[in-house]
Amino acid sequence: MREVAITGVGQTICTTRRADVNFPELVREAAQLALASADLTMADVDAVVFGSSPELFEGVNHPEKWCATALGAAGKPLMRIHTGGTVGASTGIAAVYHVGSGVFDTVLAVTGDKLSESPVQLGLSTVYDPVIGRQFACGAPAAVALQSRLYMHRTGCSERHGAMVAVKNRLNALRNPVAQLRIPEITIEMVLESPMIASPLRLLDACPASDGACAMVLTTGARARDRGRPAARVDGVSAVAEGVNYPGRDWARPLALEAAAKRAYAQAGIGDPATEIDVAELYEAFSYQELIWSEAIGLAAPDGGGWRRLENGETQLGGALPINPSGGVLSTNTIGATAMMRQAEAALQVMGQAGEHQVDGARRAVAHGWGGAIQFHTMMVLSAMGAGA
Amino acid sequence: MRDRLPIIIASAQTGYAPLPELDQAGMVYRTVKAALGRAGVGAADIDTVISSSDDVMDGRSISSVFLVEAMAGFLKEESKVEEDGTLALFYAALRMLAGASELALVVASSKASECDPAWYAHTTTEPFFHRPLGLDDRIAAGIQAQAYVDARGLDLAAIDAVTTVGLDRAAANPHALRRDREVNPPVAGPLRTLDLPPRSDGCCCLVLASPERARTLGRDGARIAGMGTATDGGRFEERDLATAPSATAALQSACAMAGLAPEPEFDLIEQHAPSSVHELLLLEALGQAGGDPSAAFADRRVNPSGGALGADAVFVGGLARVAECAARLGSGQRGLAHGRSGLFCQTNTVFVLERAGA
Repeated sequence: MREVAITGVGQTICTTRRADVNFPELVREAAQLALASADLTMADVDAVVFGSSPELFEGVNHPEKWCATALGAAGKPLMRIHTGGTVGASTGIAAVYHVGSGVFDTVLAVTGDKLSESPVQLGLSTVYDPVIGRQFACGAPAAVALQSRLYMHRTGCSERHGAMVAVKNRLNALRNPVAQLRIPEITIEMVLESPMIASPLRLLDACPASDGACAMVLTTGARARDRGRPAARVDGVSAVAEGVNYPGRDWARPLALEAAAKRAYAQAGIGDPATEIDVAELYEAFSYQELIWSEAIGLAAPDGGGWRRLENGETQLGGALPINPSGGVLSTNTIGATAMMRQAEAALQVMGQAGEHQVDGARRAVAHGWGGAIQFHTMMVLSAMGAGA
Repeated sequence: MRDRLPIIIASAQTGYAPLPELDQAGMVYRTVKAALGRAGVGAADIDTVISSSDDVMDGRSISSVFLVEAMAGFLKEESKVEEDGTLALFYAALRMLAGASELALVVASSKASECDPAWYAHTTTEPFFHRPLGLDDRIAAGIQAQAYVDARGLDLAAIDAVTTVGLDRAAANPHALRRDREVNPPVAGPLRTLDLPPRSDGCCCLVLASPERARTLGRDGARIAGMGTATDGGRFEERDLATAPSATAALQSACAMAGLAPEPEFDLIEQHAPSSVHELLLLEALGQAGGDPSAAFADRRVNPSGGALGADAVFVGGLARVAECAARLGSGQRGLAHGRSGLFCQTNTVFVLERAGA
C-alpha cells in the first residue's frame, strides 16, 4: 500500500450537552478544525468518510446524508461507516484505505455523536438479541462488568487497580483542553466510594456520555512530506471481528484484538511492542479495560502485567510507556468519535502537538478501539514523519 | 493500480419473497454459503468481509454484530458500510487496490418482512423541516417522478411502457418476485404500485478476488475497471429533482478511472431505479439516454434483470444490479452497474465492469 499520513486533526470541546450546536454543526466544527490544522479547505478534499454510532442516538438514520451540506461534502464521494464503538477508528481506517488505494489523494474522515439527545443505554440495549437478550440487557456496563470480573479473578487484579486507572486518566485529562471530565480532586478513595453501577464497576470507573466530534485529514506520504511539517505516518491498521455468544467465548481474552494487534504490528515491522511503542491510546470505556487491552496487545505481560505496570507507575504520563495521556475514554466518550480520538491523540503525540499532555520524544504510537458486544477491535500504529522526524 | 483491479468471481442472491423461516443471520448464512460454493473457496480462504445493513431495518443497534459469524467474518478483517451494498463493494475494492485484501466478501442484507421500508425511509429525513412532512421512499419517489414527468412532458402511457417492459424482463429473472399485474392502485404522484419496486427480503453476496488470486483459483469474472461515487446535499427542495447530479458525477469518476473516452458505450447497463420514471431519469443522468430515454430503456441492453421493479431489498438492490451485470456480461463486453441510496437519489455509485475477451 502506498504511504498514508495524517496531516490534520480536529477535536471539538466535548461536554455533556453541546446546546450551542445541532449535530451537523457539531461535526462541521470538527471538520473545520482538522482542515485548519492541515492548512486545507474542503476544495482540497477528494472524498469524505463519515462515522457515527447507532442512529438511535440522534434519531436520524443515514445522518451523513443530513450532514453532507454542513460539511461542505455535497457533490463529493461520501460514505458512512457504522461499527458501533469502533466506528471512529473504522472510519479512520476506511480513510487510510481510500488514500492507500491510489484512488483518492486527500481524504477527510469525520466522526461524532450527540449523546445528550437520547437515552444512551436504552439505545445500546437494543444491541442485545431481541428474543433472548433484551429482558436482562442493561447497556454496556453489564457486559464490561462480566469481562472485568473475569480479569480480576484470573490475574489477581483488585478494585484498587481499577481505581488507579480511573485516577490516572482523570488527572491526565486536566492537561487536555478538549477532555470533558475535569475532576482535579479525584483520589483512589473517591473512586472506591462512588456508587456501584454493575459490580465491580463504580460510577468513577465509568466513562461519561459526551457530545463531541473528531476529524482527521489523511493524505499521501509524498504530499505530507512536501509540506515540511510534522505528520503521523500510518504504519499499520487492522479491524477484526469475532463472534458474540459462541460456546467457549472468553470475554476477558479478546481474540479479535490479539489478531488485530498481530496484523498491525506485522505491517509496521514491530517485533516487541512493549519496548518499541512510546505511547498508547486505548479505548477504556471502563477502567479495567485499559489493563486487559494493554496485555492483549503486548504492552504488558499477560496474566496481570497490565496492573503490575500500572502499580509501578510505568503507564503514567512520565512513565516508561504512558497509556491514555489524553485522559482516555474515561474522560470523554462521544461513542461516535471516541475511537477516532484515540487515533487523533496518537497522531498528535508523534507529531509533537499534544501540548501539556505530550509524551516527550514520542515517535511510535498505537491507537485502539472496541465496539459492539466487545467483539469488534481496531488497531492503528503511527510513527513520526516530517520535520525533525 | 491497473494490475490490482478486483474481479467479481461469484455472486449469490437469496430472497426476495418474505422469509419467515429464516432470521436475517440465517438468510445471510445461506447466501454467503452459496456464493462461496460458486467461487470454489471456503470461509477460511476469505481475508476480508465488508457488509452493508441498516440498524433501523434490522431493529437492532449495531446489527452487524450478530451477522459477522454468518458472513464468514470470524477473526477476519471486517467492516460495515451503512449504505447501499454498492458502497460496501466500493470500500472492498479500495482495500483490494491498496493491496490489503486478496479475497473478499461483500454482503448486503435486509428484511422488509421484519421492518416496513417506508418507516425506515422516514427515519432518514432531516428532523426539523423534513420530518414533519411525513416523507417516505415512495412519496419521495412520487415527488421526484412528478418533477421529471413535468419537465419532460411525459404522459402515463410513457410510464406504463417502462413498467411493462421492466416487469416482462423481471418475469424472466429467476431471482425476481412474481408480481400481480392486475392489482395496481395509485401510490404517490404519477406512480402506481407496479411502477414502484416490491417490498423484499433479501441478501446479496459478491466474492471479490485480486487478479493474482483469481489466477491461482483458476476463476474468471467481471473486472471492476472503474468506479465512482458521489452524494448530493440533503436539501432536496434546492435541487432540480428531474436530475441526479451525483449519479452523473459518479459516472464521470468511474469512466475516468477506467480510462474511457467521453460518452462511452456499454454492452449492458444495470441501474438501481426507485421507480419506472426513475429508470428514464437515471438513464439521462448516466448519459445513456441518447436523447430519447424511453427508447433507450426499451433497448435490451438496459436492465435485462428487470431491475428493482422485480425485487428490491433495502441496501441490497444496488449490489444486486452489480451481481446481475457481472453475471450477464459476455467475454469482451463492458457493463455499467449502478446503485443508489437516500431519498431523491441522493447517493449514487457506479461501476464499470469489463470481461476479458475469449
